[in-house]
Amino acid sequence: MVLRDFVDDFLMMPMHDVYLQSAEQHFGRANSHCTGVMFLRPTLTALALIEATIEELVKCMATSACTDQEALNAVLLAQEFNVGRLDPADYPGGAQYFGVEPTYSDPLFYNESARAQCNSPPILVHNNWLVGRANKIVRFRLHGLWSISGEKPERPWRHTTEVSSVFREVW
Amino acid sequence: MAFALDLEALDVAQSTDVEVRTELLSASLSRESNYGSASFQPVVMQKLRALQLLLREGRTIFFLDTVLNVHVHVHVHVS
Repeated sequence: MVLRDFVDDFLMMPMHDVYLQSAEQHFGRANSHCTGVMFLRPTLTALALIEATIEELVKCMATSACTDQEALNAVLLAQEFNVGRLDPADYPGGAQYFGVEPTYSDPLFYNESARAQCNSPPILVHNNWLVGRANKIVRFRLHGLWSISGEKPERPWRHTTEVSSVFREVW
Repeated sequence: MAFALDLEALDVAQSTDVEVRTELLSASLSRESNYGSASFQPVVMQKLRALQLLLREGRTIFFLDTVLNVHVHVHVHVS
């Protein structure tokens, strides 16, 4: 969910051909990047990165269920592309905004100390580190980030009876 | 801008005011949506093809695996 203007933010960032979201659980320097949030300038460097990622994905698809993210990170590691990192405080993934739950299947899991390291509100929240469409809807709704049906986007953390009603509605 | 990857997505995209492109439309693309599964690979390959097309056209890309809150205004700069 986008909560603030990312274009204005992008225009104020130092010039990089490519900016990527961190795929780390922490807020420090990213060694692994996420292909779920990418800002790309139309340069030969950005094009070369995407084309090398396509080649890498074609290659690894032949032998495994690899992802575009794994392919991109393999290219970044091998070719030492210089990419910018979107600040996790403003562009958190699910690990940073909701916390890390080891089974990736509990939409109720929430770690307040992780959230405290994010800006309020962040520029966007990526609802990853959780498997399943229904789980993602539940988690976004519980945190006031599901406004497609016309609900107000800003809502406090809900109590147990509200959690139950959200589950009944989604499943 | 939206690249419709199948007919159902095309219907949805055309019901919005977003520019819709159909170069990557396929009748046989997997319906899988779980990241990391083998049958999701063709879907993410199409995503990379879309990025490649847009970069070749000289467009700046903001790719988001998430949606825009209708209450947020995003400034688009055209030069």
